[in-house]
Amino acid sequence: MLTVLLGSMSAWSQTKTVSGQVIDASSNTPLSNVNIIVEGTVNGTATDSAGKFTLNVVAGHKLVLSHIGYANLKLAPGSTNPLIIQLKKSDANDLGDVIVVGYGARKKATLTGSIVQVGEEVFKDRPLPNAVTALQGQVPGLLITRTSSRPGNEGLVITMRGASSVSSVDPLIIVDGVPLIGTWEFNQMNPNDIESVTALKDASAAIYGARAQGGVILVTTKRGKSGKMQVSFTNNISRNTIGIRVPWAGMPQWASLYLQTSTSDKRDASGNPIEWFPQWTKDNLIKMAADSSFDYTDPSGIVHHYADNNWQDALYSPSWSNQQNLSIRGSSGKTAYMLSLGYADNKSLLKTAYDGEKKYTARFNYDYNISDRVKLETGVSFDDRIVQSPRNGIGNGYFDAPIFPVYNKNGQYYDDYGFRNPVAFTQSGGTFKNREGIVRLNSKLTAEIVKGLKLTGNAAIVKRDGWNTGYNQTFNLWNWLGTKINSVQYGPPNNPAITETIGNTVYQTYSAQADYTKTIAKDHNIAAMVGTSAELYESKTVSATRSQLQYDGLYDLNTAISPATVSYSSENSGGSYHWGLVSYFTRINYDYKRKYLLEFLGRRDGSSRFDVNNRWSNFYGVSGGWRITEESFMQRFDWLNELKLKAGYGETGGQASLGNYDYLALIGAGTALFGSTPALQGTGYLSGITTNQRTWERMAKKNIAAEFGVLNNRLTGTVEVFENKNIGMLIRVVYPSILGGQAPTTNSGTLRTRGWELTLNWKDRVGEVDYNIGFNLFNAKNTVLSYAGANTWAEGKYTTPREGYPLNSLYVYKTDGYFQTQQEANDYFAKYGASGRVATYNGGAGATNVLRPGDFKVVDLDGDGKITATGTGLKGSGDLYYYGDADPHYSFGINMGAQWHGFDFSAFIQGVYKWNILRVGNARAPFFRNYLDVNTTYIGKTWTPDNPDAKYPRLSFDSNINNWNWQFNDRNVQNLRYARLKSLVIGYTLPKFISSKIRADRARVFFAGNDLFELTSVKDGFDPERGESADNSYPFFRTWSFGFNLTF
Amino acid sequence: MLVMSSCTKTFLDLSPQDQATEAVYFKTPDQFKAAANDFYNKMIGFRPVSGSNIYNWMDWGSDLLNPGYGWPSSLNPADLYWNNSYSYIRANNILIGKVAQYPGDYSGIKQYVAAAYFFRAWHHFFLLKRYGGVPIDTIVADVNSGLLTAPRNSRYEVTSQILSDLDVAIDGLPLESDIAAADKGQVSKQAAMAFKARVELYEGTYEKYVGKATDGDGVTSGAGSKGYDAGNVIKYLTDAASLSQKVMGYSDYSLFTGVDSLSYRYLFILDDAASNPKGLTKANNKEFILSSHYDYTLLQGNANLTHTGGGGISRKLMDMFLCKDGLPFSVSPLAKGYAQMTDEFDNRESRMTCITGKPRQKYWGFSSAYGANWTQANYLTLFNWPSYINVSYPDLSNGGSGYGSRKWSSESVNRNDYQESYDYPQIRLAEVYLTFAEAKCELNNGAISDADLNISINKIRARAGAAPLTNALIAPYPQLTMLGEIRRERTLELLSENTRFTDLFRWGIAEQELNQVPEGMIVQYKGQPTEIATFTNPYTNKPSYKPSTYPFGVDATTGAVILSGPPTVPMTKKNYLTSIPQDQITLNPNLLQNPQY
Repeated sequence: MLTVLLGSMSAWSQTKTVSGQVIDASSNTPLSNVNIIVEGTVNGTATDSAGKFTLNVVAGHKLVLSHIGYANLKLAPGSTNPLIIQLKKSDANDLGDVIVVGYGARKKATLTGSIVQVGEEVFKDRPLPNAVTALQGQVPGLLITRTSSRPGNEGLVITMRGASSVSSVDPLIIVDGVPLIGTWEFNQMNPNDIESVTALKDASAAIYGARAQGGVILVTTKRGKSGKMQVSFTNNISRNTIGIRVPWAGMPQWASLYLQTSTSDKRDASGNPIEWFPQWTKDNLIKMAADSSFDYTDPSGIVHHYADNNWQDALYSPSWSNQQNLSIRGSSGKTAYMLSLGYADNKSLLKTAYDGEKKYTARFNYDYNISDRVKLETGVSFDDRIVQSPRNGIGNGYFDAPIFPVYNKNGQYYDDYGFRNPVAFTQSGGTFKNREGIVRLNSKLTAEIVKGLKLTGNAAIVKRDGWNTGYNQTFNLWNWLGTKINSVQYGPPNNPAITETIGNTVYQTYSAQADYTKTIAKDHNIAAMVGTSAELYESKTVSATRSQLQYDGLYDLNTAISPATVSYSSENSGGSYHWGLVSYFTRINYDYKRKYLLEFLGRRDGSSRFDVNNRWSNFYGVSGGWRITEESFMQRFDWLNELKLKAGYGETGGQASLGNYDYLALIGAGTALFGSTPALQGTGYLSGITTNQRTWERMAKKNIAAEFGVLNNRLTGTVEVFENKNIGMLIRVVYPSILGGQAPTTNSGTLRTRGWELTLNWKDRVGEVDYNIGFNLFNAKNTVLSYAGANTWAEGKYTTPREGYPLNSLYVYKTDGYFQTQQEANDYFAKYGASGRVATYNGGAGATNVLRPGDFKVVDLDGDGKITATGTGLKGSGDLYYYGDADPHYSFGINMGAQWHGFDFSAFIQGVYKWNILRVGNARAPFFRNYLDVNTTYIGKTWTPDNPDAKYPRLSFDSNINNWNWQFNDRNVQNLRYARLKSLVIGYTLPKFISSKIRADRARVFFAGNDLFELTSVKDGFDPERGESADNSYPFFRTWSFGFNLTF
Repeated sequence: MLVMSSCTKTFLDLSPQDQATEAVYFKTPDQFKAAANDFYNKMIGFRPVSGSNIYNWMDWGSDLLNPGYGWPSSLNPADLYWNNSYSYIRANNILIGKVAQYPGDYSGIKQYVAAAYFFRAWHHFFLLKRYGGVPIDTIVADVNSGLLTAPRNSRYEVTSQILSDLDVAIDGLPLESDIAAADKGQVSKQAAMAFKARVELYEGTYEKYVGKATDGDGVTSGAGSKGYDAGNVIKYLTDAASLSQKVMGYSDYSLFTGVDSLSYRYLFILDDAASNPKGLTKANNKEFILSSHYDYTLLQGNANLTHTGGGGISRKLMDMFLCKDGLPFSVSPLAKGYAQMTDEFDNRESRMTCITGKPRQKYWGFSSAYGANWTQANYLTLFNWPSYINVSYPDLSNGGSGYGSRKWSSESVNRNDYQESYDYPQIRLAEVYLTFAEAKCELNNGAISDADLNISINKIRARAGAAPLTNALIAPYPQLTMLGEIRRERTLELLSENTRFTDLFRWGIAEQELNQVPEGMIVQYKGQPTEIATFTNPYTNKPSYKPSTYPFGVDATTGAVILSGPPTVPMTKKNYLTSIPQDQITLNPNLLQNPQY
């Protein structure tokens, strides 16, 4: 097909070749990406990074040049060749860039809301598994976290401007005017199809009313461009390498640490250490510490084999991913089109089984000008994603001491303790496969009835097919000599089992709007829009399970039986729900001389989720701006190019924690067993306590901002301060349990989030190098202002709200160093041991649950003679103090870019400055569970009599002691500060004379990397982005990618 | 306008598609039945319900099983058993509340309403035993109800509420013989009577021996003593005796005796025909008056019973078992002492070997994937299992007592952990016999006639292979009392069935019984090491007894290994009641904490 296209393009006659360079009229710097077309044709090109172009022009035709931020220019090519063309910046009335806003677009200069737009450059060339990852750190106020880098299982969470409610609230994401059915759907899209992403962060989101609580993200896909057909092909091949590895110990280190710990816990009556080996014998540990591999026959005659084994090496290794994209864009006559096809195979690091995703994406956007006044825009897309991973054993490996090999002497899965072998589990334990296919069809008809009045109708349907298959496979583990261990993993009769779940969603949206613009008396500009929309979301799920798959390789319900003779009967279930929304909305803009700006947004929403009497709510937003630099008295400050102040207030709704039919009391159904011949009978019960008094949560959003541009707009920036207040937060007021169930949520809470954002961008040219650097920084902090008087707290990260404190507060014990002598510990026990937390440590001689030197001294903060965990808000209750919250703070992004001749460079650094966490999970500390592998971070840093000021407390095998020392103390809090090089792209555009040899207009090769480097303050070797969990050995990875773009 | 309304209809008037709503329910007897059926799932049994754990209810941590001070000694920050009970009671109250709107004939739903009263009493009794007086809940509360801030009712008020609910239940429930085959397992009139007798025996003796000692003043602590009536002790005990006797008179129930001297063992692991040597099934069990039903195919027990075992057995329990002559080991001439490891098992009642295996014999144990093949053994006397099964020897190398309970351990084919599916006894006939005898004896100041003993607990003793208890039998031994022997009988028969703690509390002797230092096997007897003390296990070639695992050494008097030191925080009277969960007091400060917490 390409050859045909290429052939047709070169078929021109009576042409001459025009070449030249386009430069900025004032600075004389070359302008790249300037669109140049031959008037009246579809023939055209764009300038390269040096501003240069070459074009065949039929004699007598003019060239039309257009470029964002510049005035269009029409000229007839003269005899001079090459041409030097100067483009002038567009004048004040043209106002530069257009930004997508709710139900329309506005000029950037006259915006009054907090709206940020990023373009395709964010996604370009990066070996991205999905678009969300690319946005991380790009937009101040948009916080994106992930707990893994496994494609398809990243654990992504998006929040805009901090917490909006008790439960997390996703921003509403709208693609080409149609909301996504879920945030995850954004991950399905081909990032290369995205033209721009716009974040509505403040009251400007109020136009989306009840769904805009968490902010709104507008995604615009690429459409046909005027000009000649452009065929572009990008190929990206990436190597994923292991990033930060948790320093899990090898056998010698592990065993010597074990030996060292063995005398830590027990003392005889006269206080001398007694050795204690809860799991392995001393003889064996000594050999292990010497790193010898050996056989050991235990008293019951079983032969064990011990040898060093790093489970991480057995599980993870670098992998390859690749991504290909083909796009065809262009326009001719009345039509414009964009066709894009994408394929991606993104793999993770697991080497024992496939763990990754495959994506097939297609998008066709087609525009047709029916007449001068009537335009039809349509879009069709199909995104198919298959995420596949092992069903069992993912992330394991830390769980198993590094002392036995993966395979026994016969090459069978070897297990030395507790039926565990992560290689066997991931390789043979079954598979989980999730396939999502999404078809989106939308069409939009726009008609200009009279000048200034435009009517738009929009209809879209989204259909999602989710196919989810999970199955176990039966496998055995063996002892060293090849005897089957008497436990079959996922064995009959209930296994191997398969569960298939099919979920379908149909989402329809319809809207109509009228736009009217008018300028009165030259200086008064008015724009008004009214519209209405209706949405219906319907979802249905069917799930079925059977046991005893019959054939390896055939995984379907039909290849499994569920024998009636065993306890497993085939299971199936269904489920369906729907919701609808009917809305009316309006926007009115007024400005005087583009200097004083005013905007009003209004929306009325009716929802199916409420009782008929509480169904409708109104939402609104007002904002204003003052472009100070437009004032005549400012003209003398010629270094100041732009200064604008803006402020806004608005109220939006939210449906966090709202079910679809919460206002109705439902009957739950179950079974109970009766009968002399046993049989199940039905049961019925009211499944909750309900109320019909409920309505939307209501977010009051305030924003004040200043925008500026100085030094010929080389330095631009914004400073914003905001406050979001949820003034009708749906909370589940906790009543005494005698109520007999959970009370329904009611609009009884208030949550306030305050924060600020700072953006600075610098753009300049030195010699022949164009460069830019940008910086953004954002912070937000929330406070629960009212929560039905909630004033209790408990140890650790306390997610239950407490009035006056943030969600996710950390409550910790105050420590006052270590006990340095046994006497000191005994005195402490004598003082506090009668009750409360210390009472656990009441062991006598020979016991292990005894506080000893090297354990933390926890302070009795409330002075009541015992250490207690729970606080009730009353004076003297509990010994925990508020440490801070466990949310990421001071999230920042740094963008850098430079171009020089054919070379281009860009880098992006993202990070978090403060993120306090308490590590959780079984592997949070050395021997926290005494049968696990240990993290070598602690070696030599734990308390011993010779190291009384050690960073960490003493080693112990006793889980009570470890609970005392390694959780909920202020000394256990660590800061996950990091700055990570998220993206690095270095490209080279081949000189024309080379690219033309392959008939390409442009050929570029590039290197791109993700997550190549980081600085972090994490002390215990985990990846900073993982968050608080320690129960995972799966490393994050770095991606090294080489690729090329070809444009024809 | 037309567009508007059709719009509303299409997009806004959306009701649930996959679930019924309250508006259409409680209109037919079947719906009342379904609502009542759900109550049966809320009794604590093998299968966890709302986070319950059967191992909290097997007497573990008492003086008998897994000994070592397992009572709640400190403040409960929260307690799921409190929360669960009230949520179950709410469901009972909803059903009772729906009667008023029921359009049909009341007789069609009477038994289900009676069941709701039964379970409301059941859960209140659970709360009473655990906490003492609690707020009585008989309404379907909403968030504005006064119940949410109500103070505690006294134990006397709660008891009287329980008893009046049970009267309604007894009146409305069908006789066992009138329950259709398909509905067997649903609560009968007799079950409600037996349960009422249980409540009355409990409260009658509690008020007799503990009295108001745990009540608090109801002003600064505790539930107070409102409604206390000194006459209730006699009233309750009299009624308990007469109700028990009534239940004993029905021919619907009888002791399970189908497997000779091992009947007691197989009663508790009765599953399908492969679960016992005689091929009996649950249909052969007429002893359970109310039980939680499980079934291998339809609803497994889902508790790790066999693997976990019934807990370690204390020296004290071993010595409590009777000799065949019906006398305790301490006085019986048949007692052989402890020199050889099998000595103490000789001439003993059969419950001893039903509960723990005699050493030097073979047993099917867990981890045999094939289960028991009864054809290969004379299971009653020889334990003649095949050669590949090891002989059982005690193990004193791990700090344990050396004796393990196998009361709930399956021997069945095809049973893995969590698949055990025997029924869990909630009320069984043996307990009714025990209630009768104890109430009679209490009423007669410690005396009871041989005739009363013969119609009650001597039937249990007959099954256990111990001679009947008679006044003549114990007369020569002044240290033995009738009440003491009846209590011993109860302790042995109901071991591990969640009565030990509450029995010790209501008898007022928990301090003296539970603060004893727990001991295990005897390693020193008459100045000599016993056989086990010097025994080498032939399979492991290691000594069975490893003194270093017993840091507290050996008791000089008994010669038994000591399992742990004396409790750091000893049991006191306050522990008869656990603390009211702290979170509930925070939410409702009118709930006063039990005294001394």
